Amino acid sequence: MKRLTANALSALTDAELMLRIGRGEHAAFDTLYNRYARRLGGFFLRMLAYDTAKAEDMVQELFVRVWTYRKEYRSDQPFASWLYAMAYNLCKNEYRHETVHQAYVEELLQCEEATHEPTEAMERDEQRQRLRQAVQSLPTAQRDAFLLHYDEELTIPEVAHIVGCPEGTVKSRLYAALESVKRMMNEYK
Amino acid sequence: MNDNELKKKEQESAELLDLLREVRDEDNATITPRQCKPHVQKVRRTISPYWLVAASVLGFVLGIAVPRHSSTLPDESPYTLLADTSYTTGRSLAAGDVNFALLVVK
Repeated sequence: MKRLTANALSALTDAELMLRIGRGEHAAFDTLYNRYARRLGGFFLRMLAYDTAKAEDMVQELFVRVWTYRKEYRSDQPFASWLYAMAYNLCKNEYRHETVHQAYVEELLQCEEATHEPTEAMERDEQRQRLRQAVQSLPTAQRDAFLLHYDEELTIPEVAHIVGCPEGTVKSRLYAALESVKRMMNEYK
Repeated sequence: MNDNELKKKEQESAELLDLLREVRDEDNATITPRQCKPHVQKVRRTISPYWLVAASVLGFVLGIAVPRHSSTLPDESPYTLLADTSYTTGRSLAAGDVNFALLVVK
């Protein structure tokens, strides 16, 4: 297979890059990493209760796995789905997951109690922080489906495959999550 | 749960979902991707035991085959001629003291 320049590689699809990575092409791996690192970092950040250092470590760990299991990827499956399935499993394996999540929610609640009258400039930030808090306080199953579908823009069948439940269940979780988040945001207004 | 119900809920929550995407982009911007080079980390050279055996055999053969003090150079050193010794190798000249002792005697 002919070696391509970095520019030519960035024009390739994920599946094409994986094909090259499977043959040990390092430049293709770098291109894929640069394409997804920030996005996955954000995903880990939200899944691991905004622990930035942990999220960055998890991105590293995830891509080490991508390299290790590169030959197991089948080009007939969507790459994003394969990648997020691994990312989701990493989150599940994360031993501090629940502890960190609880600590973060408690911290947010304390901040809420200590908050004074918001100024105009602070109001928007406050609203965003509220939304973060609302999403983080969802039950884990709802939050995972919510983040994978609305933040990471995966389809419902992909989310169902990743979390390992029927599509109908994912839809119910999404519905319930939307309702809860909306209610919490309205309470704030 | 059917598709329509969820779609309707999403339409009602359009503003919320827009804000959610803004928050997502803001969060993603806080991540600083580090270098990730698993292909470099994994490279580890190992020496095959066959090479070790081959190198040992070669060393043994060379050790046997090559004489330790041999030289094919003709010994034309003035010291040797002068001293009229039976030393014929450069090495024995380089050893020094014996040859010089002989020179003095001569």
